[in-house]
Amino acid sequence: MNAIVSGLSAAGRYLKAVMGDNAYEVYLAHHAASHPGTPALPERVFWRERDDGQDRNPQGRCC
Amino acid sequence: MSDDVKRTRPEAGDTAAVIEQDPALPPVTVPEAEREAEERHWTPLKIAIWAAIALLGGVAWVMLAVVRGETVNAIWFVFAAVCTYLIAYRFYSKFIERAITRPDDRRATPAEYNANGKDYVPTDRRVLFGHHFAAIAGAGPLVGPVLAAQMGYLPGTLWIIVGVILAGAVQDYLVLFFSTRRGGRSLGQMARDQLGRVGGTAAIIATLVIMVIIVAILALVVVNALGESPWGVFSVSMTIPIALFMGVYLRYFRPGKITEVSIIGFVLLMAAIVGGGAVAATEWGAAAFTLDRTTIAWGIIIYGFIAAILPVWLLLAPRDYLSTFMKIGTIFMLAAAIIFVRPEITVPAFSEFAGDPAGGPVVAGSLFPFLFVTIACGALSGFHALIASGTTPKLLEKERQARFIGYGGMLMESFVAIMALVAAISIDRGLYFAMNVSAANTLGTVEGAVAFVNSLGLTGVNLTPELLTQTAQNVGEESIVSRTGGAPTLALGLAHIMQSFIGGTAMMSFWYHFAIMFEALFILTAVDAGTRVARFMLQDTLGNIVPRFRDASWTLGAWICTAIMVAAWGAILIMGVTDPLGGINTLFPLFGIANQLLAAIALAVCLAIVADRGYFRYLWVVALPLAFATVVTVTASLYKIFSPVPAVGYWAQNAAFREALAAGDESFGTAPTRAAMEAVVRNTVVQGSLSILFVTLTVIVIGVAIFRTIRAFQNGGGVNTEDPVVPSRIFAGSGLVATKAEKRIQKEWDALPVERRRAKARHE
Repeated sequence: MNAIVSGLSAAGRYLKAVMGDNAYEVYLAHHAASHPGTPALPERVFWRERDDGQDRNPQGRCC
Repeated sequence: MSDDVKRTRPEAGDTAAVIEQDPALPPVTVPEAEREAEERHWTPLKIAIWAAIALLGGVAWVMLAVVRGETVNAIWFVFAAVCTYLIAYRFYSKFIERAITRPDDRRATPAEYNANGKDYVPTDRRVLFGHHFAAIAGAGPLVGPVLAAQMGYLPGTLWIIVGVILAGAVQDYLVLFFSTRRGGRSLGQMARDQLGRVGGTAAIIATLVIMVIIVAILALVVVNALGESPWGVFSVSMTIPIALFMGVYLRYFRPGKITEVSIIGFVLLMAAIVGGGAVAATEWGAAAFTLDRTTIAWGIIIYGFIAAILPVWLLLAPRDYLSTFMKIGTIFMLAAAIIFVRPEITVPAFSEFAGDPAGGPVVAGSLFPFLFVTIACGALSGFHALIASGTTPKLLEKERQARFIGYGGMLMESFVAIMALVAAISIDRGLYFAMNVSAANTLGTVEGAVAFVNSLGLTGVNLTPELLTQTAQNVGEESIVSRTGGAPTLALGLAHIMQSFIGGTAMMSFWYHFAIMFEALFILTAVDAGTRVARFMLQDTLGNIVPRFRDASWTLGAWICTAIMVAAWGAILIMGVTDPLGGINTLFPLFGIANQLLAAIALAVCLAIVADRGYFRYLWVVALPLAFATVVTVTASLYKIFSPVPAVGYWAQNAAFREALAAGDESFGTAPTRAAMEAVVRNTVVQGSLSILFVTLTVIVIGVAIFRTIRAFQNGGGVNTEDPVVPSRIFAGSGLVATKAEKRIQKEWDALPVERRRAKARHE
């Protein structure tokens, strides 16, 4: 039973990572490592900038 | 392995002295000797597993290619494909790694040395595999194999599987690796660096034109799937408000909850499919949503323009999330369904049309070269080079992972193509032809379709009007005659398989529209993104003349360039929709040719890079697929330009119709009026000119690449266009599963205090 639960939660985490849910955590980890002592972007601002970045630099989707 | 290669400058193998490891950190890679020992060590268990894989694959191929009984079970397709992929991945891609790419995990990737926490992020390899796969796979591998099923199942199956291991996956892997070594530069930039001004410019223009063609023909597939289908039109239009809702939700209510909003979107989407059936059943619904193809085409053109100028967060990003979510879900569902249902296939290995130089009613022309341009995505897709350069390299953690992501990702797409082929051939052959032959032949009526299909004289095919009307009724459509473009056939195949898995005949109409929906979703996402990317490329090019176009914040400039790009693909789309000769069937070869010409360009760039590195002994790894893609596309283009057979050659068709017009005929061939005849003359001029343009640009690019390769050979190598070496300070495994040595080193890293673990170069 535990194996099933942990398997499902691992699958859930994987799906979330592929969809990009963890982008802010990744950014925070990067920020903490590279710019310690400086304030990181607040979550809302981060997501906004992430979307707006795509306006300036669109990514292709294949056929 | 490296000492037998002539070298003129330091290579990956020689950089040991250059790359100095931080002594305070655990190793950033498995030591060369240890990895070699592990890879070359064959335990009896390992030998037994690979022997079993080879045996199973061999049996499957024998069942498909040699035994070819009255019927063949679909499971053999799965075994043949998966076993061949595993062997190719383990042995051939490993060979390419040792001979050509020679990754060095002591070197930092752009994701590491440029890390900014946003677009340059060292990403877990399994997550990146998902990202990369979602970016490369779309509707392409779902459509081409369906059309090629006209020739029987074996030509398509062979080309998809052999093509991917020797060509498609090689291209994806090499482009990904070479772009990673060059800071994640795009294919266009690499072409400029590697091939100089002329070759580079030709490559960029070709890319732009090819993108326009690809977007137009994908849009045409959607138009054909939705024409005269109120259910489809309703549920696909509902994706727009659903995406808008998701966009607003993510922007203002729950930023970052991407999976959550995708699940909500998915539920709404299912509701839209079910609701579509109810709406289409009402009188007002049928009246409001039964649209002819020209109207739908105009709708997509207007939509495409608006979607490309709206902010990304509002429409494009949420649609992309939904599309990714559906992609992962439906592929697993399709694989599970095929494995559980294991349909019996009655289509012959080689059909009557496989040996016919004139081809058949779905794809005109002989098997060579037209099989190889009809199936592009899934076997060899140049478009992937645009993703494998630029986007994915900025997320790649370690050089050695490029094999898993690049080669492995493409194998996965190839498997999708195999499943699409299986779905398409699991339906009755008579139905297949009734759906895929253009209305010019079937007259769009049940009687016309029955008469035409039965007149083809196919063995074992006896189409009845009852079968056509019954099937149409089962999938909730008015008619399924001449639903060309591949998507409806795949949808029917999928519905056919899924209904015996879940739900029975009563669920068939749901599954059919579910399949139409996800194909439309993939394609519309590709149309949005393609228009945007093409617009940026145009802005960049125009910026050489009017510098202001480079300024991305200049709204008018962006609008002008968007309008130009939309007008370009829109014109081809309208041309395809109104074409009296059947649109998709004449235009689809152009899609395949365009896609593979892009592949030829990407491979040409790779060829020049491999030559510059001095690895001439292994040049054939790139030269082989490049030569094949070049021969196929150039031959196909020349057929399209010079063939005297009107069904094959654009100019021959043009001449035939011009003569008929000059003779004062009131109708000719399948064109019933003089206006239609004039349309054929116009369309063939455009198609013929595009063919000439493509082939000219490609010959220039390949010519320059060969010239550079010969020069590099004479000099024993060439200029190194790689970025300078930066020592890596992180560790990660390279394959799907971590090896023993990788686990050991990972433990050392896990024991390190967190603040020292990912201490990368600061860039304040």
